[in-house]
Formats: sequence, structure tokens, C-alpha cells
Amino acid sequence: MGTYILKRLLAMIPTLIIISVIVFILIQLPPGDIISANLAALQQQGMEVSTEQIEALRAQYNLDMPLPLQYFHWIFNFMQGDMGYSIKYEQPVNTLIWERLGYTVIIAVASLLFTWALAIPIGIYSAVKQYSFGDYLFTVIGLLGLATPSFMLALILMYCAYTWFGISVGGLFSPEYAEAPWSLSKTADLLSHIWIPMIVLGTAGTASIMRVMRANLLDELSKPYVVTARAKGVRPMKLIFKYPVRIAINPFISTIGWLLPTLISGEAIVSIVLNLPTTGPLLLQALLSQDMFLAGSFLMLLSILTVLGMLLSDILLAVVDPRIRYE
Amino acid sequence: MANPELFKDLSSRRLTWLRFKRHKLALASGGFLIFLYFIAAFCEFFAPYEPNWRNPKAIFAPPQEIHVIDSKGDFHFRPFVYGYSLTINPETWVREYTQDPEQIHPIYFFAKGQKYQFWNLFSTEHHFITTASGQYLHLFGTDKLGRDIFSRIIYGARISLSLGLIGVALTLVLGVLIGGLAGYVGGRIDNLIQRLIEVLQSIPTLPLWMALSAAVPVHWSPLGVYFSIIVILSFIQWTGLARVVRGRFLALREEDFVVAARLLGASQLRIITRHLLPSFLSHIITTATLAIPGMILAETALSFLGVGLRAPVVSWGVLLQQAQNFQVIVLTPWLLLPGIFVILVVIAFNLLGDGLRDAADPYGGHQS
Amino acid sequence: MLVSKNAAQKPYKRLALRGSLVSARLLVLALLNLPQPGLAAEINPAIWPASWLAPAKTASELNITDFKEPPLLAALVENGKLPPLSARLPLDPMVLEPADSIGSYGGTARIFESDWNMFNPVESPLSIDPTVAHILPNTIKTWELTDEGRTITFKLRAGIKWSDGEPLDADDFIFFHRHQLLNPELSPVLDPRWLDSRTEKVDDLTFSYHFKEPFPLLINLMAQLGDYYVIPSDYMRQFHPDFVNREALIKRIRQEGYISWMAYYNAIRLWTRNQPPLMPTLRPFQLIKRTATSKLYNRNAYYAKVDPQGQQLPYIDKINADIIENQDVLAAKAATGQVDFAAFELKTQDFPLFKLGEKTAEIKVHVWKRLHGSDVIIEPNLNIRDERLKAVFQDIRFRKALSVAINRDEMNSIIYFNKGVPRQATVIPTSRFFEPTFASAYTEYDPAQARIWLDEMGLTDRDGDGFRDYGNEERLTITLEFLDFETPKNISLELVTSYWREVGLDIRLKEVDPALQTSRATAGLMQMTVWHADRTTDILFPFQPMWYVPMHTGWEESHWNDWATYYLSKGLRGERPPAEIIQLQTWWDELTRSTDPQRVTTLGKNILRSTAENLWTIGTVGLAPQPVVVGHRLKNVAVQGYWGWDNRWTMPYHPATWYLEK
Repeated sequence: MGTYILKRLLAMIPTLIIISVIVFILIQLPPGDIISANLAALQQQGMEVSTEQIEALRAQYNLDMPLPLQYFHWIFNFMQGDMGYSIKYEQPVNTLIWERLGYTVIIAVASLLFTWALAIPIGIYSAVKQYSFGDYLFTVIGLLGLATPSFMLALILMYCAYTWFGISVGGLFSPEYAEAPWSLSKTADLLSHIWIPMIVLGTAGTASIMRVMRANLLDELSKPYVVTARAKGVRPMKLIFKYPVRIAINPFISTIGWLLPTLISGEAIVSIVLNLPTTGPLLLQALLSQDMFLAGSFLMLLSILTVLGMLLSDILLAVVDPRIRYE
Repeated sequence: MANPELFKDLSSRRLTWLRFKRHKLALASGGFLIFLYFIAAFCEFFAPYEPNWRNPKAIFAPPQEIHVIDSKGDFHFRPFVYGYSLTINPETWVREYTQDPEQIHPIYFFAKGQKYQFWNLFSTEHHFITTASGQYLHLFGTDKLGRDIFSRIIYGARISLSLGLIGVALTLVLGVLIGGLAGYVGGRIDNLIQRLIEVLQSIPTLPLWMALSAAVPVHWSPLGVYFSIIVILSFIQWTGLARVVRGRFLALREEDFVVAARLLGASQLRIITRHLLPSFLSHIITTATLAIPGMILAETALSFLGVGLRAPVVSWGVLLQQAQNFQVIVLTPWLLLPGIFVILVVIAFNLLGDGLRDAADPYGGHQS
Repeated sequence: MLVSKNAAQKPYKRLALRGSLVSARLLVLALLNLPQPGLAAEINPAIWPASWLAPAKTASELNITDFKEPPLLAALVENGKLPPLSARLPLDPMVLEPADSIGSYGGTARIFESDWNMFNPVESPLSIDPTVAHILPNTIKTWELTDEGRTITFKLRAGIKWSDGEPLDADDFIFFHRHQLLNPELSPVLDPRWLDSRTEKVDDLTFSYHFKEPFPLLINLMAQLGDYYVIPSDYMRQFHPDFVNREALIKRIRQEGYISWMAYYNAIRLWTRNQPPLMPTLRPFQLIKRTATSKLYNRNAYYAKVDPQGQQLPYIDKINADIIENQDVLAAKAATGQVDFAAFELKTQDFPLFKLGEKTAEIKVHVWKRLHGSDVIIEPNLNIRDERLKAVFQDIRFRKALSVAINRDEMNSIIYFNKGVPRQATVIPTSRFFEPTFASAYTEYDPAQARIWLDEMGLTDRDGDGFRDYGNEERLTITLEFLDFETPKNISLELVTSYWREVGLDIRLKEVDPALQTSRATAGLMQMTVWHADRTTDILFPFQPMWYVPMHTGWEESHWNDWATYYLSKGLRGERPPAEIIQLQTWWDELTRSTDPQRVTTLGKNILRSTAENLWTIGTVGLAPQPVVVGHRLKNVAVQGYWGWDNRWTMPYHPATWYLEK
């Protein structure tokens, strides 16, 4: 097991190096840069900015270096935990990201739990009661969730939450709790808001997981050992939950690591619609305004987390399924 | 299967079709999609108006109802709609439309309306439905500039539906080529491609799309932007397919019939094209069918973020972007109608894909 | 000199140094020059308290001797945490009259962070009156121009204190000038007007500026740009290497994660996110905390104004300002009554939504008048590198054709509910530079005439595809890049391009982000762009007539960069403009230096007449209604007012007198 993990860890290094290069190129791709945005401030004062002065400004942020050097400068600092400085927000990237990461994690975990708590039981039900009315109903609901653009769903849910329950529009807290210290009622307030992003983010995933679960379980249920057990008169509940369900769930473990990029992408759009203080909108803004340290470091961080997540999935899978270790 | 003897002499293609036919939902979905693609192909004819034509008398006008009996109780053989009468409420600043029973706008079929260029081939004036000149027909209402939503949805269908199709075709080519290469050649190339896929899949897709679309030069023509969006979307999508194809190739490579072909001296190309590809063609078609809705949704997401297609091009994503606010739900909910079409098409593709998968896999499903 | 961001997540909000006219002596004349009645943009001054229109009276002038303070502060005084009111207020504080009623103390106002400048306005050294025509004294009591405007002397009111209790004195102005404006590290770029400028301290409350060339417009800047020229010197010293050990300072700011001491200094001064709390201020409210989702303000215990009953202002105790990045969410929140005040990010098109809120959410929608001469002005790039396109743009027939092809009445009806004024970009009707023809030139909708002009130019449709071509069958296409903010640019341009399509012009729209707008506009790469025509009052037009004279390059105009550069670099760079443009620049040069009011008016009118005749830019609809949403608790907000950068939005209407009803 140890050697397996070590081998996988070593394999990560080249992957991460390539990712860092791609990320760096990616943020250099769009035309224009953040210095130009800041120049607006200078020029609005009716001043003529000379080329030398622009260069001086660039030098402050090391933007005057040749690109490869800029890359090494950035990645070297990144490895030391310094993600750079956001020119747009005028503060260190570390601060910016950490103050928003908490909410991102809460929403991501909540929607993940929501997805699984909903999808797996329904998947089991649909498999066991294949072609029943319930099976069709859930399929239709699941497909609706899959098919509705997330921004539209978020908007409609927000509207319904306001008109039916009087829940304030947008944000994670009601105004009176926004800056209050944590308390039981503040937590309750958070819960009354977080279900919208949770549902929006969760529904798309729910449909697919539901269907995979159903298919996996159907495969298992037709296997001889199940047929034998059924023939021997094992109680239906025990029959389903003892082995087939456990085996059918296995594949999901391997997808945990892949969820992060999906969640971040989905979360960004939902957070824009609902105005949530998460990392997604920050990343999109940074990309749009060419705030290269913020966008680059953030993308890099996410990619590392994803690669680690994949590793974690593989290890989990190896633990569950010993055959993989010896491949 | 109920009676295996019955199927004994049928070709596999025929078998697949028979199995597919049993999926009523998939069949219906397929029909629905063909219908939509047909309309999209001839959108100039089916849409009563050009998508950017404005009716200045109808800003944010609600959908008109089709009537056959007028306010006096008289029956009209030809269906008609009532014209709007508009007042701007001085209190609320809301444009209030009422259906004016004095203005009867009959609906004509295959009649002459606005002039248009059909496929850039010839110009004509015939529309599937239209009204007399000076009268108007807004079955789905109008938007902030008085443009006909119904026509815009039909024109948008051409862009959105074709985008999905072309995008997936591109994805397929990339995925099958690269995945097939990895799976068939194996070894170091396989390793390299595996790493590349891993890298691309580790970078969150949305930022990747955004950065790439932001790099599309500003002066490109709408058509150029359209194709660059397709390329950008396919750029990520191929990785998933490539993994599947590679896996299949790896497995099939060792199958007896492939080994046999190789021993018989068949060339590499022949083995791939004659033996390997056909054996999972059905699988590829299924995957492709299930990938199209992803493309259509991705386009709406990019448009929502303002980095997708731009006006005057009309896609469902562009239409939905303009419907993205609270005011629309409260005051002009008909602007969300394009969303219903997105949902219907995505569901239809999924059902069709499911049906195809079940039909193509002789061992799958139908245990009961 | 990187100047402030209105909000960190919207760095493209306006800021910076812009100026205006009306010097001390001109003031008298301007007061006599009454606005012409009966013009659409005018608000009847009778709706405001008469005292707002004249210099504020002080307590002694109104016989107020007894001052009161809010219970919140009284408690602090009792605990010994705050000096008594008499030690905090000036001996003779200014008195502000509320719009409707005397307020009561207390409460936390909920607003959007984007409205921070509106709810807690700048406490400018000089102020602007509600009609946006005159400069009024504020923390500066008197000013004097000598040596033809080369020397300007200011005298401060006595006893005004920063929110940390330090006195406001001449040093605070001099610190800014010597250690910030003239510091090459903090301000690598210096406005040429300030080259070799000097400040001189006469006494604690009196100081003067000395310039090489006359600079009478500094008076307008002292009012409009507000507190830009004054800084709490006692506080800021600790972040400036002129006063503390440089190495120690750099070490300290590195630990905070900042890249240079200048970045840190600016971050503190500009109220950006990571600002250490308790930066002293003169405004009614002081920022005390900033999180990812909101900003919190407390009342400034040293605020130097009182109401007619001697109660120290402001009435409200705290502000909770939510940071909302999505404008649609913001509109929804405003319409559903979740804030007490909202205006800056609200769109004219959303009026029905807010009006609906009047029924369902107990809000009120006030209709203020925007000071934009035109909400959207179109700027064909007269200096575009593409020679063929340049020839087209420089042909006046083309610009005239563009203008008359626009159906402004329809735009007014579709976008503005018929409440705007179809017009070219020019000053507001109450300005002394205004003439009706400046606004009405070539605004009559006449597509047939547009076609005639375009045909005359040889731009006909040669290949029959419905679009006009150059001489060689190549289609004439124009890419219009724009940044969609502040005014309804997107919808306006969708309409404008459709009008132009009707006369056969192929215009492609592309929305760009702030960084791209800046880099492409300043580099002169945009074929066409748009902005909103602000700086349309007597306060700002004389200082920055940027739509009418090539005197500036920036992200907001990109129609004659090379000519502007030529002027700014005194002929070293750029391209020599034609004679009529040089004439414009000469007029403006004289205008900024002149202290003769009649001459100033003549020169200003000359400049504006040139735009009306030549259409250097093309206006659409201006003087549009601005929604101001007021929650049911909030009182004393003026029912009408002028809304714009020129008067700092709410500054003349005294938000310190707003209060929350219990």
C-alpha cells in the first residue's frame, strides 16, 4: 500500500508542473492586463502617462520581466505559500481566498451530501422497483434537474423563496445576522438560506448519480449470487443491502476526486446569481479583469486540490478493492 | 428475450432497431428532436419575423392568445389574435397591454410576409405563419426592444442545436483519434496521452472556457465567434470520450477476433477500421448523443457569463442571458420561454441516448 | 497617484481628479446669472430648504447655544471613553436644516456598499449648492485668488476635528501636497499644472498654493473632488518613509502581505478592503470594519455640524453596507425593501420593478435627474489607424448621417419611459454655457437624409447584400466596443445599431471588461466606443471638456487620442491636429487660466458650438431619470435632486440629516 501511494505521489509531480505551465499561459492569453485598468485612474486625472512611467508601474509587480522569468517568480513564491498580490483588490491573494473559502466548502459539502442523500436511495428504489410509476417519476424529476440551466433554477428558487417564505433575496444571511457573532439563531438563518444553492448545485448531480446507481444496482441484482440468495428465501431488504448496494456504491468513491472542478464551476455561476460570498465569483472576476496573480494562483490551488482528490479516490478505491493495489 | 428463435436470422442493426423501438420515450424524443432540427434548418420559413425585427408598438408585450371566436361571439374560420392597446401606467411606469377586441389580426399560413434570403440561395417572402402587413403576431410575447420571442426562439434553435451537433462531432473526432491512438499503440504514447487528459481534467472547466473565450479577438465576425466557441467547448469535452475509447481499445485488442485478424495478416488500418471501430460504434453514438445536451447547456452558461455568442447572433443562451433577472420573473415571465426549450431538448437528448444505449447493448437491461 | 476605488470589486468606478470652474469672484456673477426657466432638466429650487442654497449659517448666527448629543455617545462620555460634546464640536458649528423634519437619534441603516459615497458623502473643503451652479464654503470658510489666480489662499473654519480628535488644520493640506502629490514614489505621474507648485502655511488655519500658471479652477476642484486634497496628517505619518524609518516600515508592510509601502499607503488612504480600521475621517460616518460581505460604519463622534435644535449630526448611529456584486440581485433587494437606501447601481429600466415595490414592500421611489448630457455618447475614432475608416469617420457627412439615423424619440420611449430628453452631448440647460441649438443639432430623426449623405460619400451597397461597401465591394464594418456600466449602454446600443443597420451600416457590438476598455481606448485601437457624457455643469465642464476638446486620453474617450497626445506632449508625440482642433485646444487653454467670467463664458460656448456643428461625438438621450429607492424607515431624503459625479451625487442634499423613524 505504501509503495502504491508513493508511486502515485511521484507521478503527480510532472502533472502539476504541466498544469502550472498551462495555467500560466491561460491567464496570459486574453489581451490587455490589469495595469491598464489601474492606468485608467491615472489618466482620469487629465495626466499624460509616459512609457517610462507605465514601465515603472509594471516593475512594481514584476510585470516587466520576460514571461519565463515571471513564471518562475510566480511558481517559486507559490510553493512557499505566497500566492501573490491581487492588483485589482489591492490585497494579498492569500487573504482574499481564505476569507471566502469557508463558505465555498460549506456549500460544496452541503450540496454533495444533498446529492448523495437524495440520489442513492432513489437509485436503489428505482432499481428495485424498475419500470414502476415511481421509477418513471424520479427519472423525469432527475432529468428536469439535469436539464435546467443552473442560473435559471437559482433565479426561480430565489424568487419562490422570497414570495412564499419571505426569505431575503440573495446572500447567505438575513441583514440582521450578517455581521452578528455566531449563535444558534444565526446558524438557523444560514440554514434557511443555504438550501437554495444546495439544491441548485445538487440537482444536476443528483440526476446522473441516481441513474448510475440504478444501473449499477440492476447489474448486481441480475448476478447469480443474488438470484441464488433470492431463491434461498433471503428477506428482500437484507438481500439488497447486504452486498449488491455496497458493490453498486463503490464506483462513486472513485468520483469524489473529480467532483471538485465540477462543483467549483457550478458554484461560481450559482454564486453570481445568488450573490454568495464564495470563491467562484472571485475567480471569474479575476479572470475577466486579468488579475493574473489572483486568477493564476487560484486556478493552481484548485488544480492541486483536484489532483489530490483524485489520489484520495484512488487510495480509497484501493482500500475497498484490493485488486487495484497490485495492478 | 421472449423468443430467441424469432431474432435468430436478423442482422445486428435490425436487432438494435427493434430493441430501440420498444423504448417509446426514446422514440418520441428522437421524433421531437428531428422535428426541432427540421424547423431549425428552415427557420427563416417557420419564423414569422426576422429575429432582430422590432415592433415598436410592443415593448415587453405579453403573448397573444389565438382565438377563433371574437368578442361579439362570431366564429372565424381563420384563427386570429387581437392587437395590443398600450398604456404606460403613470403610477407604476409599467407598460400595460390589453387585447384590443377592435383589432383583429388574422393568421395566414404559407402567406407572404417579411422578405428573407433562404439559405443565401434565393430570396422569398413566404412564411409558415404570418399576418397581413401592419398587423402582428407575437405568440410568445416580445422583449425589451419589441422583438418577437417566438421568432427568436426558432432562429436561436438553429444556432444552439447546430452548435451541439458540430461540437460533438469535433469532440468525437478528437476523442476517437487520440483515445484510439492511446489504446491501440499503448506504451509511452498511451502514458503521455493519459497524463495530458489528467492535466486537462484537473483544471476547472469553467475558468478554462472563460480564459479561452476571452482570448477570441474582438473584431471577429459573429460566425468566427460561433466556431471558436465550438472549438473551445470541444477542447475539454474530448478527454472524457478519449478515456472511454482507450479503455475499449485496450480490452478489444486482446479479443480473439482481433488476434485472429492480426494473425491472418490484416493491416493495422484494416483492423482498426473494420474490426475495432464497428465493435463499439454504437457505444460512441450513445456517448455522443448524451454529450450534445452538455454542449447546449455549456453555451447557455458561457452566454450567461457574457463570454459566449454575441448579438446580433441569436442563440438560446443569448436569449436566456437577457432573461436573467428578478424583474423578468415578476413582470415579464414569458422571456423565460427559451429556457423551456433548452430543458425539453436536453431531456429529449438524454432519453434518446438512454434508449440508444439500451438498444445497442445486447447484454444490458431488460432482465425483468 | 493611484486614486481611489469606489468599491474594490468595481475598480472601474469613477474617482480621481476632475475639476471645475467658478472662482471666488465668478461666484458673485454666477449668483446673478439666474437659470432660464421652463427647461426640462430644471428642478424648482423651492423644493429644498432655502438655507441649502446659501452658505451654511453657524450656530451663533442662529442663536443656538445649547448642543445635544446622541444617547450612544453620551454613554461613552459618561464612561470616560470620549471627551464631552463641547470638546468635540467647534465653538461655532455649522447648522444644517433637514429637508422635512427634525430627526431623532439612533438606528442602523442598511445600504449597499456601492452607495457608500451617497449615504456617507465626502466632507469637501468646499461644497456645491443643490442647483449645481455655485460653490459654497464648508470646512474652508473663505478663499482668495491673487496674482491673477497664481496664488490661492484658503482659510479653514476653526475647531473642526478628525474622527480621532485631531484638529483639521493647514498641515493636513500641506502634508498631502508635499508628501503625497509631490512624492515621486507615491505619484509617479504628475499633472503638469502641479509642476513646481508650492504650498505655504500662513497660520494653523490659513495656507496658500502657488502655481506657475493661473489655476483658478482649483476652487472647483476643492469642492467637487472633495477631500482628495486633505489628509489626516497625524495618522498618515506612521505609514510614510519621510517620517518613519524606511526599513522598519517596509518590513512591517511585507508582513501584511503588501508589495510596497506605496501600495499599503494607498490601501489605507483609499478605503480598500484590507484597510486597518479607524482611519480618521471628516465624513458623518467612519468605516470601522470590512469583511468579504459587508462594510460597517459608526457615526463620527466629532462630526462638526448640528441641526437647528443644536443636536449633533448625523442622526443615524451605524451603517451596515452589504457588498453586492450582482446588479440584478441588487435591484431585486432594493425592490423588495431589504435596504433603507439604494440608488447608484439602479437602472432606469427597472423603474417598474421598484414602483411595484412601493405597493408590496413599503419603499418609496424618488425620481432624481441625472446630470449626464447624454446617457450614451458615441465616439467614432477620428484617429483610427485604418486609413480608409479614418477617412470615413473624418467626413462630417458620415457623422451627421450617423446622428440623424438615430430615432431618439423611440429610444426615449423604449428605455426611459419618455422621461429623458433626446439631445446631443452638451452641458445641462441651466449651465451658463448652454444654448438650445447645442442640444438639438442634428437630433431630428431623418433616415432618408442619412442615406443621401452616405450615398454622396460613395458608400453604396455594391454587392446587394443590404450593407454599404467601400468603393471596392468590401463591406464597411465597424466594431463598437463598450463597457456596460452606469448608464443603459447595452440596450441603447442594441437600438442604435439597429437604426444604423436600417441605413445599411454593419456595426458589430462587443462588450469588453474594464481592463480591456482601458488598454484599447488609450491605445486608440477601438474603432468606436461609447461613454456617458458627464461633466456637464458649470462645476466640471470648464475643467474637463473631454467630449468637446482633445485634451485628455483615458478609458472614457477614444475618438481623438493622437490629437490629445500631441497637445499634452506639446507636439512631441501624437499627430498634429487640423487647424479647427488646434483652435479648440487654444480656446480651452485660455478658458482654464482666465479669471474674466465673460471671457470664460464666450470660450466655453465656442467650444460647445464647435461640437454642435461638427459632431465630434454623437449624443442620444440625456437628462434621464435616476431611481432613488428609499426604505419606509428613512426620512428627510430630498424628493428631487441632481444626480451625478459633478455634484458628488448626494453631497448638496445633506445625507447627514437623514434619520430612521422608529
